[in-house]
Amino acid sequence: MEKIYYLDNAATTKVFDEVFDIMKECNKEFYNPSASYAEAIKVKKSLDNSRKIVSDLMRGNGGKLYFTSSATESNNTVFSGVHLRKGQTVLISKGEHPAVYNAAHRLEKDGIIVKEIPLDESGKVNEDEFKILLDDTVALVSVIHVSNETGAINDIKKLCEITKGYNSKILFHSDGVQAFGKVKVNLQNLGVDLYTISAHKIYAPRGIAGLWVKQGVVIDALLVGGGQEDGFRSSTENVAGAAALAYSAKKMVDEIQQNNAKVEEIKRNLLSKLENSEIKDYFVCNSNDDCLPYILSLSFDKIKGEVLMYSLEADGILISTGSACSSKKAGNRTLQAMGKSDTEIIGSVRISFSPYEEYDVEYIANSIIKNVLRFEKNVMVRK
Amino acid sequence: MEKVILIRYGEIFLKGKNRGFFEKTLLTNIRNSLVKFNLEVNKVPGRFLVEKYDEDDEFEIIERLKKIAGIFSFSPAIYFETTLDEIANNAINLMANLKGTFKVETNRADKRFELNSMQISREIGGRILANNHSLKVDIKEPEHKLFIDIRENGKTFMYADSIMGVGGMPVGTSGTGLLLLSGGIDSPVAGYMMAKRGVKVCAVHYHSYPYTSNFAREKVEDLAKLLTGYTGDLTVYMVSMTELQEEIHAKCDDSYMITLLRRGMFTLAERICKAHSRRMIITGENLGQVASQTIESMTVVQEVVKDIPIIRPLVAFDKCDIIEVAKKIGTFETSIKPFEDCCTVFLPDSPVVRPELYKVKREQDKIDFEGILERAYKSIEVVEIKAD
Repeated sequence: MEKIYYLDNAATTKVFDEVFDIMKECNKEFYNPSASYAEAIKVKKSLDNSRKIVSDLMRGNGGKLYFTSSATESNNTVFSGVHLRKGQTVLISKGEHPAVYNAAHRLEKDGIIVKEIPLDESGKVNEDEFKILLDDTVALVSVIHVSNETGAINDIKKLCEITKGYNSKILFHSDGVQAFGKVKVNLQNLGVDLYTISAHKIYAPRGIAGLWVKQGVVIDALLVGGGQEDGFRSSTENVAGAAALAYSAKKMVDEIQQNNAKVEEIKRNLLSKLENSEIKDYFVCNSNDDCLPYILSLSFDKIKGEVLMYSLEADGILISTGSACSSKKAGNRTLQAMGKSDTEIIGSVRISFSPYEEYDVEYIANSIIKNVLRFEKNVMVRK
Repeated sequence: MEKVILIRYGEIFLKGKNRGFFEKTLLTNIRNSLVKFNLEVNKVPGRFLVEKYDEDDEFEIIERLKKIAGIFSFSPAIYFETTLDEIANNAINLMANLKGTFKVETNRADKRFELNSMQISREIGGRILANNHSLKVDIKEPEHKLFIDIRENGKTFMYADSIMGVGGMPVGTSGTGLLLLSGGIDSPVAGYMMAKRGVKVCAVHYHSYPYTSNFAREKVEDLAKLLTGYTGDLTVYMVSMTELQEEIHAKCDDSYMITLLRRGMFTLAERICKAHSRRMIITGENLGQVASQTIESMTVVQEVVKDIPIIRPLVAFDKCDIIEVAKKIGTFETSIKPFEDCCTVFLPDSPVVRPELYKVKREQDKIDFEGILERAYKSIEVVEIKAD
């Protein structure tokens, strides 16, 4: 196989080359940032500098960004750390990532009510339904900023206003993993209390992420121990990871507009090639303008997404499925909430672009068309 | 005092003239299985001895010995200079934390020793009782047994319990075989059973990529890896049946999908056997379990195999018995991971249960059966699964 076209950037991204050098240099300064000798203090300063860079990029001065090991940890911190009482309600959208969905639902065993806000056809939170769900028991709302399945962008500012307008004490969290670095994030303006970001979706490595906490918000630590991160997140700090995140985040935020234009063009180009081909039995799950162009969610009528995924892999094209049917995992909650049928979900694939890769769109489109035509002939019994 | 593991072998004794060959094969297999440890495996009359090992490795050594075909049982033991006081002190220590009933059994190979077996057992039993008041003697049905084995070389083995091995014959003493390894519960068990009968096994896996997933393939590799504990290094031939299935689906009566597919599998299996000197095809087939496993179906399928026996060690097993073995050998949990294999895609609504050969051949002639198999054979991928 000559070239690999990596089209699964919503799963993870290829670390920028420069980031390896940054991390290497950083790791040479191995001192523990909690120690009190001068060399260690320099390391602590480097960590805080990374924090400031990332925080400033999302206008986070009204709160503090804490580094964590993953967005999953950040989201778990929110649901385990916010003070909730039996009988209180947590609202999450039906389109949340499992790290929010499962962390929230785990609270039910403690007598906390967890309700899911329906989505509209475009994959965004249905605002009218949301208003209906708001009642006096609601203590925490969590809505994903950009959907990892469809790229649908929720209007977090508006949802926050609705929430705070109903009761200013309700805390609002947003999982911004797919948003940060790809759409403009201004935490002051959005009005959220808690915001999750991740490094490995923006060309930095795994093992570093963040949770931004607005000043005054009371939340307990998930990990206790040596009291690092002002006691909010014990563990010896991942200084090199933080520096990597800072670098990648800055580059991404600086280049948001050109990046969006680039992936938009790739997406449109690919779609137009499909539209002008022999294949007909498919539809675009996220054709809406409010979707991030980084993600293209397609559904084919006569092919399992998984089969298409593997056959594209044979051509060096790596994508993801909307639903892992053969592994009998739950289907796809997001697509389901958008009103898609089981057949549509089984036939769905997720193609997610990178502005930093060159794609031979012609080749990719031809491979999709070729494989779809091949499998259309072999329609299988779908269970 | 030294710690050793005493290994007893079973059926090897049955093989008069071949005994040397069997013992040598078993010794080699044991050494190969324990190669990563710093130790010695030596032969003493009628037994093998694992010696000079690091005590921290003992648990893992035991786990490995439990999987080596040809070992009847083994016992972690202590090994020391023979004197009555040494025997007594070690016995008292070994039994110090036990409660209930016990019995001492002595074997005195060294006839120079001052007491005979009965006297030694009585003497040591008495000293144990004097030191541990929670124990009582019961010669008929003791809860604990202490074995004293006084060897001719002036040394004594002592051990408290025996661990059962898998039994059977050393791998490599009964020829070679090709196992049809799916991702299911049965085929790993079939492979294990034949390895236990001394067969050196390799495997073939049929897949339908891209209809079957990478995970399904990984699962098969995981199963093969689990089997290596019993079989040693395992070669897996990965064969794509995709074209055959697509062609059958497009051109033949769908109800013959499984029959034709299996005829393809067995044709290729025989070809692999001939190319790689394998003397038997081993399958996990079981009479009546699914549609393809009626005697009519087996007959029609095996018609393609001309010169090599098909061994079906599970043919008369109940499913629950197969599952029990799968759990015992540690493949069950992996087998039940829900990834589709070759047989579960393109599943016809009503497969033919009692196929007739002439009809099957008629269906088969609708496609270029030979040409497709030739292409499949040429694109075989060989994966070497190494034992840990």
